[in-house]
Amino acid sequence: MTREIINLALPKGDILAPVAELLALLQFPVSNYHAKNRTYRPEVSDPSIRAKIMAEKDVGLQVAVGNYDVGFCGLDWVREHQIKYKATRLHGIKEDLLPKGQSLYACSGQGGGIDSLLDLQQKPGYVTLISEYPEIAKDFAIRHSLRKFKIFSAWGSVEGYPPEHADIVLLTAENEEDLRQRGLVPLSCEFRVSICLVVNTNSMESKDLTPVLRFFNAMGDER
Amino acid sequence: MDSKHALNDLSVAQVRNLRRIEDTFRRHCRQFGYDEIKTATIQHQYIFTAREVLSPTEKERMLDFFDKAEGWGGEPVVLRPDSSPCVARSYNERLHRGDARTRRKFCYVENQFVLTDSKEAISERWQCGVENIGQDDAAEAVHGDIEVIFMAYDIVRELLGKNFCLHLSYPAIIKEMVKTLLPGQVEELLTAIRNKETPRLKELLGSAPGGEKLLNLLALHGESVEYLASLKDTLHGIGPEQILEDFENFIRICTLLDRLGCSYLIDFSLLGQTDYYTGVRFQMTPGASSTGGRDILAVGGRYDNLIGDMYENIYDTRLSLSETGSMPATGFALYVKNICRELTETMSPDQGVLIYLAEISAEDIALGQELWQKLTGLGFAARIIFGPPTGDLSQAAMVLEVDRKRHEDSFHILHSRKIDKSVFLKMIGGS
Repeated sequence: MTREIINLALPKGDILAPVAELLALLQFPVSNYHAKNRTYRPEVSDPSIRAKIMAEKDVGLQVAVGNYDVGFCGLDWVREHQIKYKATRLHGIKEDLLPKGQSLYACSGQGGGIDSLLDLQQKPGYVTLISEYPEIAKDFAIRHSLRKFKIFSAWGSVEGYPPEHADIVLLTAENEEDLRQRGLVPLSCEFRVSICLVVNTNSMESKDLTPVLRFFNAMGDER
Repeated sequence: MDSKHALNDLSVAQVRNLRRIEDTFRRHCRQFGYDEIKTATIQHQYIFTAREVLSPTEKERMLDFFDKAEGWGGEPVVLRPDSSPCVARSYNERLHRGDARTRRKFCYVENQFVLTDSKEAISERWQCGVENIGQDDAAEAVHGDIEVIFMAYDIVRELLGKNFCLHLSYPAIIKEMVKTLLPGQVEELLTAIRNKETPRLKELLGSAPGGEKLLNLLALHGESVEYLASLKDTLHGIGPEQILEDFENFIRICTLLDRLGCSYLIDFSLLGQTDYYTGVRFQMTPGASSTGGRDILAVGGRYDNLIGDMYENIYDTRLSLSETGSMPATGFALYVKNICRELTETMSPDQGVLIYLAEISAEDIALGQELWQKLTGLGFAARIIFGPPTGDLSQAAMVLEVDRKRHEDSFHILHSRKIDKSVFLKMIGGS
């Protein structure tokens, strides 16, 4: 095993603040990791680590293809990537690193006539699913044996589609009450979305990642 | 280093063997009245993800993508992972268009695409298969089962001699017992059976009343009707009466196989990776001990619900041709690449007959083609060449020179290992 540079992918967006807070708490040697950093290159005082800031949804892909060895992103994006690429090198080494305070739900629209998974399974014709997570949506359709289904991806704000333009939307929310207030009928909670520490499995085998991973060893159970 | 797609290339020798398998298969299909069809390579994903079509493992191995014709995301489609559901879809569409012929016998030679076990590469496999659809009653169904089992058996026997084993199972019996014994853990138990996880099976069934009977059924293997009859007597009181009726049906099938001289090994643990079998299921392997996917030479069985369930899925209405909405069917598929591995090398063209055209003319090539037709009809590996033959001619069984102007009978034997011209002329029907 050689001591090579470890490339670290740090997320921007909603989870930047909790990840930055955790890194500070653990005295991880990074500075300038904040939303106002326009270079996207925070400084790391350990010369064996190089860090970059990127969109949270890109972290999984970049770690999977090996451009980065370690990163942080939500479990939603990890799942989306793992379903799409079944032989992926992306592995959530700590899938419950931090709570994100959200879960991923499958919902129908109020007044659309679909009030349960059984209604959905018995619906004639195609079931239309819209989500920011098309692979998770497809997996949902397969696991629940939907008779016929079509999947459409959206950039967000999917709650606006049902019941007229979608039978089901899959989205993250704090709780079911939050969804009801948005005019949705929660049918199932698919999983709790946490912030994960992800690694590239090839890097795990070929590089010494301890300069990064040692900071997180004490946190939760390794998976 | 070979590209990861190299594993799907077929060498010259493999293609030669593939054609040999296809020829044998098509001849048997003609004997029993099967019409050949080709289904689309790209299929709706939902026909494979519906209940009781593919096992969870096989669903994971599908190669899916979105139909770009939808413009915005759209319908997930797959490269055909299995042909029976594709034939069922095609058949249902004919029925829906008003084709009144419910009894149909289809055969196909098609490739299928799945991810390899590691999910890191695409595996393209070739299958020759038949689907015998529309037997009305139990007696007809048994005849349908016997027909497809015998066809598969006879084809493999013709290709490989006696060096193979026919395994018989009856997944519907096992599924009914599992539903009765552990209704809350059906999928878990079926997966453990499929994966032969004996300790897990013992753990799951150990405490269930009657669980021991299922464990025995899965562990014991037999080779006779008597074995089945003895097992049947032990199963009273486990599950619905349907289990005993299925056993009777299984006994009838085995009795007829005995009459046809087809030997078999009964192994109830062989559920397979497709979930649509409702009656007898069979598979063939090179030996009795090998049951794994890489060894399988042929798989088949009865699937009475696939077509009716799929019809309802596609058209949102039950199939009106039968009271139950189902359409009985049975079929099998030969795993061509696995059979190729077991085949001995066929005769190389270099060892066959060369037909050399000394003069390039329309008349001479027509004669060359006529000779080729007669020789291949006699089972020779013949080929036409324009230039003079090169290399070691003694490697060829025979070399004919065609030249209407120079030779009496328009051709001359330049080299022959065994046959002189007078014998050859008699063989091909000349003077």
